Amino acid sequence: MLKKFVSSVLAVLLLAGCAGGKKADADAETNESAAADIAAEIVNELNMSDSLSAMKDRAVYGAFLGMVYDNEDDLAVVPDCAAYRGSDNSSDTVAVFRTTDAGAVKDKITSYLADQKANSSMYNPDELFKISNAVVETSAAGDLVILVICEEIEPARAAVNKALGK
Amino acid sequence: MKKIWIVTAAALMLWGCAEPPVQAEEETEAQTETAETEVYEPVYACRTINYYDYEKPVPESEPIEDVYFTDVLMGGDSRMGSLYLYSDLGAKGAEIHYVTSLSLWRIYDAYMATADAPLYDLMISTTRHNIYLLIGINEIRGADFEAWKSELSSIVQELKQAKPDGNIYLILAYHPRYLSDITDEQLAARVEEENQKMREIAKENSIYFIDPDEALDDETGVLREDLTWDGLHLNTEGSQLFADYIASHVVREERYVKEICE
Repeated sequence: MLKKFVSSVLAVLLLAGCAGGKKADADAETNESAAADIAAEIVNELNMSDSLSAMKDRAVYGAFLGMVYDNEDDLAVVPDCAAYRGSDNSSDTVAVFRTTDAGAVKDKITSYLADQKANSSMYNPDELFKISNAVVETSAAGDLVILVICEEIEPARAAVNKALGK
Repeated sequence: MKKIWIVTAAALMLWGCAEPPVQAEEETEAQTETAETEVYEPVYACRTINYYDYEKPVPESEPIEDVYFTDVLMGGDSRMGSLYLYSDLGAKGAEIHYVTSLSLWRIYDAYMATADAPLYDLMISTTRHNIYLLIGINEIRGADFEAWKSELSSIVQELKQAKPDGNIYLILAYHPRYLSDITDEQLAARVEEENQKMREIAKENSIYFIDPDEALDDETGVLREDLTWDGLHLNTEGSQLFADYIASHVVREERYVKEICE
């Protein structure tokens, strides 16, 4: 009886360990992907491949973060990032930032969104709703920040959470 | 017998001494002939010096001929749109591209209202020799100008590499009367900061910059009220005044580049 009990407990513990390990592996797999791959995945998920194209690396650092892409200090905070934007005047955006300081990146994104709102109110008021409801999420490990601005807010949130393994 | 040998030796010696003068004369004659046929031209070392002061805005000069604008490409944000819509530069032949809300960061991917291509591609691929760029007002509220300067400097260098015989004119931001979501004091400070970065880029890269504040401002140093629709964008009169200013601030290189021979 005792032997059966101990065997059962051991089996349960082993299964729990495997499940936790798989989740950790999933997190690790997501977090190790290049920012460009994660961004591309979200663009595909939202069916925006036809309307968005990848921005130049150095433009991503400057546009969203006010950073210089080949500055060592800036690269230490954001070693990898990628973004997609449309060629038209829309504000549609998918941007992924791998970072050692998620708080600082989120602050920069907040400033960026404020700027976009100010410009949109002058030139393109139809975009205000999207910008005001931008999806900004951080990974559980705090090493990834993702920004999505698009019409379909809930699908955007789902795609971002999937990319973050949430 | 002995006397005969001595006399003979003396005679031979005298004869031997006589020959060289003949040869020396021949050589002298040859040298003279050479001297008469060779003419030694003085050699000059020439170099080109550029006296233009890149630290200063393009000075005023007599208005350029209209044909100049057939060799001009202008690009920028909505302020350039005013020149496109209301000035005579297009009619004179200038190729003008703009899109509202254009920022420096979008110069690579945002298509112009006037062309199905981003401004960067249009500038790099143009066959026109004179490029004017008016950009920066959409970043005036929040941009980090160090990063902005670094990016614009990279663009300028790439343009210079693509067009070694071309001329690049940065157009400084004229001071708007007001802008939404920023106080007048902040706006003035930000415009001045951005303009200072452009002056630095012009000096560091030996390109030209023009300062439209000289033509467009009132006595308080902001855009004249009668020249604008909304405090920022030029109306018809303002746009033509701006265009006239551009036409009277063109660098004639022959006035600054001289060849010095020494």
